[in-house]
Amino acid sequence: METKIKTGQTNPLKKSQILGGSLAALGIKGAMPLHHGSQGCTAFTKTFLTQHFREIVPMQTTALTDIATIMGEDWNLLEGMKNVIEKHKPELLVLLSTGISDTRGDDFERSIKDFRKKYPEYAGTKIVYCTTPDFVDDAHLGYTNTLKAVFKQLSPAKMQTEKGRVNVLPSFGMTAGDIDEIRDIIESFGLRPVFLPDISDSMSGSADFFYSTAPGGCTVEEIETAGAAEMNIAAGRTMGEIAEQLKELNGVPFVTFDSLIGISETDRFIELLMKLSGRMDVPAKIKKQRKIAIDVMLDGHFNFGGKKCAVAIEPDLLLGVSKFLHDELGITVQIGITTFNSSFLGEIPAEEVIKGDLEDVALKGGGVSLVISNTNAHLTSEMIHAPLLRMGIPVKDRIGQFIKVYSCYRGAAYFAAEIGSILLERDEHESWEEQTENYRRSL
Amino acid sequence: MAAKFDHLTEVDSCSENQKKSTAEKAKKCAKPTPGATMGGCAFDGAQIVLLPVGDAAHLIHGPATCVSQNWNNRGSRNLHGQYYKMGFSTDVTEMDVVFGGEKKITDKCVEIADRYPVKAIFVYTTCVTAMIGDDVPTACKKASELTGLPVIPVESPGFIGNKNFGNKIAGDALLEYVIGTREPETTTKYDINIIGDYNIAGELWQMMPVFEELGINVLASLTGGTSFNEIAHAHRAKCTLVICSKALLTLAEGLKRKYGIPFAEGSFYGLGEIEKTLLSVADMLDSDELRDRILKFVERKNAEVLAELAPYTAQLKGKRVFVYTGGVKSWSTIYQLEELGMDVIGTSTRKSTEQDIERIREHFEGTQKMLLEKGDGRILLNILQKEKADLLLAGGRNMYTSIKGRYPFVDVNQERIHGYAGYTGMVELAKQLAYTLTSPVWKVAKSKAPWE
Ligand code: SF4
Repeated sequence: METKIKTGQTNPLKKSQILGGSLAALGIKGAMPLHHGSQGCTAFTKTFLTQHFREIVPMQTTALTDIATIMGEDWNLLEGMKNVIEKHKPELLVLLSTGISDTRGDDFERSIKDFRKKYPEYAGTKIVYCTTPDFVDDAHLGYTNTLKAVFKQLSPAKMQTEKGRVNVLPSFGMTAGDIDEIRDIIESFGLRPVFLPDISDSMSGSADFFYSTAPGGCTVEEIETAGAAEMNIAAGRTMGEIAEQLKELNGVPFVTFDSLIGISETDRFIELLMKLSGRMDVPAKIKKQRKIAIDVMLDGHFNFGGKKCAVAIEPDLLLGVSKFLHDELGITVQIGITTFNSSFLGEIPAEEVIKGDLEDVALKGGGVSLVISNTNAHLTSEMIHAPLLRMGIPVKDRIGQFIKVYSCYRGAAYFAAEIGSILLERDEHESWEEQTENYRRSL
Repeated sequence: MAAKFDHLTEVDSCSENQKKSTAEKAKKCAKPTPGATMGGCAFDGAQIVLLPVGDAAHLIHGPATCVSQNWNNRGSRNLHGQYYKMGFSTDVTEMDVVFGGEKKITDKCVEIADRYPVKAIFVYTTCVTAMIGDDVPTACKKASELTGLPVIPVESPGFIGNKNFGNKIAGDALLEYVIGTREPETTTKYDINIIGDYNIAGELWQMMPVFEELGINVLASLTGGTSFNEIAHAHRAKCTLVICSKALLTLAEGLKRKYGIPFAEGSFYGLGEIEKTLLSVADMLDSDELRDRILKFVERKNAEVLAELAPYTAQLKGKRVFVYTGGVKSWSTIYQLEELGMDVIGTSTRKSTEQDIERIREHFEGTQKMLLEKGDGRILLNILQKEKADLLLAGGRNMYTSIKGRYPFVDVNQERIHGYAGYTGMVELAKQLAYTLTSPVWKVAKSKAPWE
């Protein structure tokens, strides 16, 4: 296959904004995403996330049908809001637009006003909205756009600081395992972390009951009191923008991490926690975890050297994973493929970084020993005979993906172990093939 | 721009045919309720029918949602090619919304033809590209000239209807652009078409050896496990079997109207249904010889399968199962489960036609069994609890509702891994039912934690 300029996409890596926006909503307790569009968009997105999380994934649609409605009034939107509130009694309704509603040019703000006027009895349900058409941006930006909108619409300005409270803004694609790990570490310093949003509480299997709105997550109140935190921790480069917006809103200072993947980022993170908590005696368990992670990396380094890898994943994760691979494991990132252009793509330590799709894994990944991407990259990884380490969204062909940890020392240990094991197996296999081939030839 | 889609919106968009009274039709055709709607769009439905054509590329002319959350997600299997596992997209952007995106269709078709040895390309119109008024058929014609491949427009913007309606659109596209465009090299007197089996989890493959042994030749499968050329031959079949699909009856009717091919409806689920279905083929082919052969074959097969089933039916006997599938499956699955000795306590009738429902009513007559028209997770769990169900059989999306309620579950939706059709499928279903029912995990899951 030759590389020419491509039209559109083949095997998209990117997902659409409503997926990211819904994900953000699902991390808020009692929230319900309502897509303003036709039913198909919601059905696809719901199935997609259901397969990824292996959980019930609440979301609804305003079910626009036929050209007449599409071009007509916003009856569907008001009716949809009413029906969802009546039936599911969400604490927070998160309205998300689709390509359809944005092509016809709906005005959410006006519709919400109309709704409030028409249905004063539902004043108890908070409503936020975000414009998330699928012909611009991707799921990662849908996630951050929605979070920005949620904060802007729910979080008031300055508040009295609550000692020890730390807000963490988890990046798109972090697993429930990541969030729990980070929480555990922050708590071990005697601080109170609040994750905005928190899918570890809703999409991790810990909700062992039937639900029709997000069964867990940060509360609406925790969003409204975001300004009470001592510090905001942006766990991902793009989350820094949100932290900055929050600072303008409520003055809470923030620190941005490129990711919390790898030893050096985690070191910085622990330093911050030491400073914040005033605790210089780092818990023994964390010290031990660091030693273990480094030991795993040392054990594996025989198999890391000289290896090339293709990584296809959203920008925040691409930055974090590439830095870990390149700066700490010594694996070359031959090609980094991601979903939108951003100034920080230039900082990614890869031979080449492109905004692309999963076909590019095959087109640009020839000769790599490993592909890191979501489940959908299996076909193109097979084309270049490279094993696929599943990460990102969707991972629908693995059980228990949500408990995986990539963040902090423990995550570094697991991640390095997984990469190392795959490469070790491959090394053994290749060495056998090569030697037997040579030997046969010499006979 | 609205005028352009008049021909699509005027069509009766329910899965039913014309015979019903207007009132009935209005009820069935009711618009989906905003804020209380589940299920895919017409575009989804069109893809369900066409994606199984394994050696054709499927180009989606639309923005991200239609493609990104949808591709590589069908359980169909095919040996002619696996392009249904790929997601080709024109990736419509803001610029295209303003200036139109037709050129991307031709460009992308040329690119696909360059890179992949496909036999044809299906191009799907989706909501946004319909709204901006892109002329997909003309772009397809041009792409066809440039690539030398058949490039087939499928005008399936999601908003014009539900999945069933999309099935029909796909059927129409096949009838208009594909069927009859090639002649088969050889034909036999027992050539048949199969419509509506998508070879999900290899289900058609479970039936193929049966046809082969009986000397019935599947000339064209529409569209499970099929190739583009195979579909083109469909007009030469002697009869058509429509499997579990009301929506594609229009395609069978089209084949009858255009080429005089008779059709019958059938099902591959359950021993009784398989027999009936096979015999209906013999009837359509008007062959006593085939009829005798089928009767002998079925007798032997049934005995074999019953012996194989014995260890599982012992575990399944009398177990109470609720069926939540809808469509034709709502009754065909009931028969299959009852043959396994299970007690079907009720079924859903979503997406079922009046005929389907009538069939179930007759079957359930004189019992207290329930027909659930519209349900959601909570309603479903309430029923399971009230009816003391042992097990739920439903589509994948309800799997986690079932798990939350701690009910054993078997998935019968299009992403499943196991096929339940034919004789081997019957045994497979029994196994899967027995495995979930007897899994020790349920006991652990229901056990109390030390602090409870
Ligand atoms: S409803 Fe329209 S926009 Fe949504 S997935 Fe279906 S075709 Fe695409």
